[in-house]
Amino acid sequence: MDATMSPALLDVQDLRVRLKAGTTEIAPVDGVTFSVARGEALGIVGESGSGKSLTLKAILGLLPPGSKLDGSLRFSVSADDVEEVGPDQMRGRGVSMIFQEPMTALNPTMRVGRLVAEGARGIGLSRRDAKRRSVELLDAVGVPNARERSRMWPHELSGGLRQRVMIAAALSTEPALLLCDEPTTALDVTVQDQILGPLAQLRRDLDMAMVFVTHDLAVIAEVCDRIAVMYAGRIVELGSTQDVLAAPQHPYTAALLASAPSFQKGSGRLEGIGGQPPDPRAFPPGCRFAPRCRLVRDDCHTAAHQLTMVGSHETACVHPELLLPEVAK
Amino acid sequence: MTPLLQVQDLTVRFPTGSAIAARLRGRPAPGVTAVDGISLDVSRGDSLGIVGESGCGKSTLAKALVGLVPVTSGSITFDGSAMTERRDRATQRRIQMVFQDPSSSLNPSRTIGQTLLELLSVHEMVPKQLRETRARELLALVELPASLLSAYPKRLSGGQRQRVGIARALALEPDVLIADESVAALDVSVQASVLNLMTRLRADLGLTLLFISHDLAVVRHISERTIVMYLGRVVEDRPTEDLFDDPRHPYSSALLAAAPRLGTKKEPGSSALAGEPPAFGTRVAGCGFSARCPRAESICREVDPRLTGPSSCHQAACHFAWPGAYVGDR
Repeated sequence: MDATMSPALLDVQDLRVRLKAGTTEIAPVDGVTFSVARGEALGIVGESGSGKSLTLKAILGLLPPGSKLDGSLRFSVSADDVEEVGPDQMRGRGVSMIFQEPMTALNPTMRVGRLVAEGARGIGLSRRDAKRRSVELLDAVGVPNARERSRMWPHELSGGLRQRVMIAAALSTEPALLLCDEPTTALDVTVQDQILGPLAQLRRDLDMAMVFVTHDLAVIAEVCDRIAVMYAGRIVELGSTQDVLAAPQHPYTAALLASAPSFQKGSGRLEGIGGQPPDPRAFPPGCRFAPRCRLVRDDCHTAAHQLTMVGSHETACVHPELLLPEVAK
Repeated sequence: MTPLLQVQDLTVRFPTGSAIAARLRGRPAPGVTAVDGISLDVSRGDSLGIVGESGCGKSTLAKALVGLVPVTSGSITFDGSAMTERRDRATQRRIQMVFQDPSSSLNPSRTIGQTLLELLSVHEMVPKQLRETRARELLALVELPASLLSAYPKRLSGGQRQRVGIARALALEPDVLIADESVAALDVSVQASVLNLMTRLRADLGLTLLFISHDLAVVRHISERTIVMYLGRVVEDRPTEDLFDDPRHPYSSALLAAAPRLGTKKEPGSSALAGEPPAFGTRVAGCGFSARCPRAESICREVDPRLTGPSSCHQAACHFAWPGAYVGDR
């Protein structure tokens, strides 16, 4: 996607989320910059506490009370519309979000058909059209017997079906951008596959962009065009999914890949990453991964965080050359 | 050599309503069958993986083995003697379990030291004066610093808590360790270190490991033999390598096809499996998987396939698993 042709759908510049933690202030998201083009799927991957979910919530303006947001966050509504707006105008119309746990995200006092129709009503459909649209959407996301199921309550459905209802409800406003926060993490692989399939299909049909947050690299490999790897509140590697997974330019990405047990190889020792992600109250200076990095050099502890182009994509590592012999191995 | 653990026709049924009301109406007592006639032999030192979708009965099977749920029928024989519902402490301690969520399975108001010391004293594992030393040893065994003895669970990270969960199970010097989704809640980097730890402990202590997981890649990594469960039954029982390379049961194939994997490009939604497992208690005629099976033929809806195969370590419950041979009804 060429960013110079038309403004990106979503442009995030130096996003910083500050929260109160006792007497001090912490920044679990600390200077995140990325953009999402129309129709593009961006995956954000990282361990718990890396700030990936908080980044997503910041985009939609769903931050906890008392938190402060710095940096800029701009949507451009349509390709020829240069006017840029903030999250408040986009929420409910241009952007939708799906969450990890559908039971807590769905209103238990509404039949699922109405949950989906609500969004369709919101974009100006008549009651009758909205109802028809809700059945169409439930059918499109793979809910069997959509017409009958639309009269059921959320608690009558299985976890997989609930998640599909949530996707249908999110799509009912015809969003240009869908934010997904670990939508399949709690599901069985078979159900996950049944959900990712229609989601990918609908994304193509509706030319919808997507930001997909997960800790599962294999899922990202399946559904995303580009990938952003987050560590300690920052993006440390950004590039096309294929390039990043085939030739990671940051030791953290390489270590994540080495930690995941693979289908192909038989048993052996998994690499793992020693230590734990840093506490946001005391992020280390310089490269934040340096204390856990196997390839650490002296200047890593003082290096400023900056994404630079190395090979096919961007990395924040100041010594990506040290990874080359590792990858070749 | 007789197997360490022998399970014969094990059935676990949970009542779902009033048995008296049902009897008054002349109907059988309502209930769901979570484990439906499973037979299984596990040899000492085996590493057995158990996979299947949620609700297939894999956790209930584990709980029945540990004695946490009552067995409806069938038998469990451990090291030559029958395991009854009431087990004395000496028998209890020989099969231990590590749970999925270490934060809810550790007592938040007790330090790690108190938790371990209580176990050691209740089960009289070591003389009183040696308990403290043994607790330190246990933490060292799971690669945790001894300073954590005085820490409360809330101060520990998820990975550390899971290590304490393992230490707690190992305190009783069990022969069999059952890990029920023990790494599911952990980040991959932490998961890797816990998996490495389990592999090492199994080798060092000669443990028999039963590893339950919905994550096929993890099972592939840690288990030498894998059973696939569906609706409370074993549908395939093979050496892990063979199962992953050449699954014989269509359900196993579908599970493997559905899992996203790194390194090979797969389109989402390309696995052939439709629908979800039927609700519990809706046992259909013939093969339980026939309603979702892409290969189902008329025989599948009439005759329930037996778990069978060319050898005791290569078995599948499908009419078409082994071309031409081993077909029989249950």
